[in-house]
Formats: sequence, structure tokens, C-alpha cells
Amino acid sequence: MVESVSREQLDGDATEEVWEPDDLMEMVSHDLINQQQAAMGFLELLEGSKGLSEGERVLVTRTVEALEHTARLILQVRASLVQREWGEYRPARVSLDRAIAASCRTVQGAFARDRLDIELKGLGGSTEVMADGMLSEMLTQLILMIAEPAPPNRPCKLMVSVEPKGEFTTVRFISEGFALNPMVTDALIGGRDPHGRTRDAVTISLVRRMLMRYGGRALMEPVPPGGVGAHLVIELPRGSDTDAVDHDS
Amino acid sequence: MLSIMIVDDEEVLHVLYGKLLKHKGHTVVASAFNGDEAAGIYRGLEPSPDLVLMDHRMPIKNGLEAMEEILSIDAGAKIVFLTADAGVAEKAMDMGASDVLLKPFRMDLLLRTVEDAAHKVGDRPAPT
Repeated sequence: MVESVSREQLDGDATEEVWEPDDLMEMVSHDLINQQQAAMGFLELLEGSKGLSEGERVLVTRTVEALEHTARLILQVRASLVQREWGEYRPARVSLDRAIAASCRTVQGAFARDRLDIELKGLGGSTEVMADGMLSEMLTQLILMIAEPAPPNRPCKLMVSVEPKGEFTTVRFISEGFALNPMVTDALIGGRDPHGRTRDAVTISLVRRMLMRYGGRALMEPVPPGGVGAHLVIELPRGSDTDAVDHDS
Repeated sequence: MLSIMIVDDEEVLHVLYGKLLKHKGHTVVASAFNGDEAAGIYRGLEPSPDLVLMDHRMPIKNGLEAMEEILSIDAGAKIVFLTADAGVAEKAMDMGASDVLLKPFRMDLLLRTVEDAAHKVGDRPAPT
């Protein structure tokens, strides 16, 4: 459920609670569809009961139809907002190695040069996944959020490794010397709508929806015995030889 | 008559599905409000329910992940997936859902789907 916000909270924290319309739509539509599904269902139970006059039954039927129509409209608005933002998804083979390398360069340059050592493993230059030209942007946002808790006063390392796993390619993020941001991992893995700081929450929502768009997913792995840090894994569908290639990515 | 487990983070939908299923003579044997809880409860159910009604978008662990875990516990589990996302629906079928209903759906369709799945209950592999 999307939590309600009191007038005092709105007044006191107005800049923190402003959502992008499509992110708000994504969250609210989930709740609206469920509530409309419930209302439709209860009315259908009523419609099937014996105590209604014919006139009452017609009214109930029309209300069910109106609710169903509204629910479908909400879904159409949500779909068109996603399409407007990103365009129609045309999956293509994209070089994962290049996308990760570019993202890590951006993160090191923009944020973590003195705070974080990023070590890349398993990048041979030929790993491809099914995605689009926004893969690198998604990875950059994800790594920025992961790296944010790294404290500046002690050495921290983020290892990024790539490994094939069946029909997927796994990208593993292992932190050393700092914990991953639980707001990021909870929202990515649990699918919970993130609340709190607006910028983070919107970014998490964006990354989560891009992962869904690519048919990928995120999960936390248990740290192996004797291991350190936290292990966040994302899985992306592997590209095959018959798929189109996105040469711009 | 079927024994059914309901997994959804919306309490009002538990009430709705429960009323509908009870009215048709089925029994709700377990309820869970997120995917993690669902997998844990399913593991402890003896006997396993004939059918699981599984929502997708839930806290802690979503429906796809919960379904994957339940199918790893019981490869013969019958899971009807309920979602508003057509992309998730395709994935759910690929991962082993018995059927998928796209929200919003009518209650008669839910009942038909549940009862169709009932015909497949006999396919459940014998416990070893």
C-alpha cells in the first residue's frame, strides 16, 4: 500500500515528497487496481445473490462494468506513461562488458574516486545480454546507489563480476568495508515501493522498472563462509546469435 | 472440493477470494501476505494444498520468486498467478504457473480457472 502523508508532513517536508508523475502512477495504480478488483468482486457476489430486484441487479451490473472499465483505463495510462518515457522496448544484444566498464568509469569519476576502489572481474569483452541502449544508464544509477554508503575515511572496495548462468548472465556486486544501502536492496528485491528521500526512491523505482523491462531480476546472495561484505546480484537475459545487435550500446 | 492457499498483500482480496471460494464449497487452508511468508507456510503444510492463488507484487519476496521457491519444494504444486502486468504473466507461465489471470478479472473467471486447475490436481506426482 502507498502510505498516506499528513498535511504536517507535506507542509514540513514539501520538497521531499514530490514524486515524478509516472513513478506516482506506478505505485498508485497497483493499489487502485487491487481496490477496484475487490470492489468488483464484492459487487459480483452481491449480483449473484437472490435478494435483489431486477432493477437493483441492473444497477450492480453497471457498477461492476464501470469499475472494470476504470481499472483497464488505469492500466492503459500506466502502460502509455512507461512507453512515453522510454519508447517501445526493442530488445537487442548489448555488450554487458562495455556497459559495466562505462558505468564504473562514470561512478569513479563522478563520485567515488577517493572513496571507493571498483574492481572488475570476468569482463572479457564479449558478454552480451538482451537489453537496450539504456542498460549503461541503469547500471550507473544502480552502482551509484550501491556505493553511496561507502564512508570516506576507510578503504572500501566494490567488486563487480560477470558470470553466465543458464539463460541469464549474472552481475554480482560484492562490497568490502561497507554495507549496501538496505533501502536499495529491499526495494529492488522485495518490490516494495520505496519511501523516504525522493531522489533515491525515484531512482530505485526507475532501476527496478528497467530490470523488469529487460526481463531481469535482483536478488541477495548469502555471504559464503569466511566471506565479507554483501552480495547483490542482478540477472539479465543472455543474448543469442539470432538476436539483433545494438551497435550503439 | 479443493483446498486452497491464498497469497496476496491486500487483506481485502483475502476476504473476497475466501468468501467466493467458501460459497462454492472450497476450503482456504492457508493465507500469506508476502512471498517469503508464502514459501515458509507452504513448506509446513501437510498435506499440501490443491491450489495456490498467488499475487505478484508483494513486499519482501514477489510472486515469481515465491512460486519458484514453492515449485522447488513441491514440483507438483498448482499455482494460479494473479497479476495486472502482462509481461509478468508470460514469465509466470514460463516458470511453471498452472494458469494466469490478468487483473482486473471477473469472479466467474476466477472460479472457472480454479476449477479447471482442479482437473489437473490428479496429475500431482505421488509423494516419495
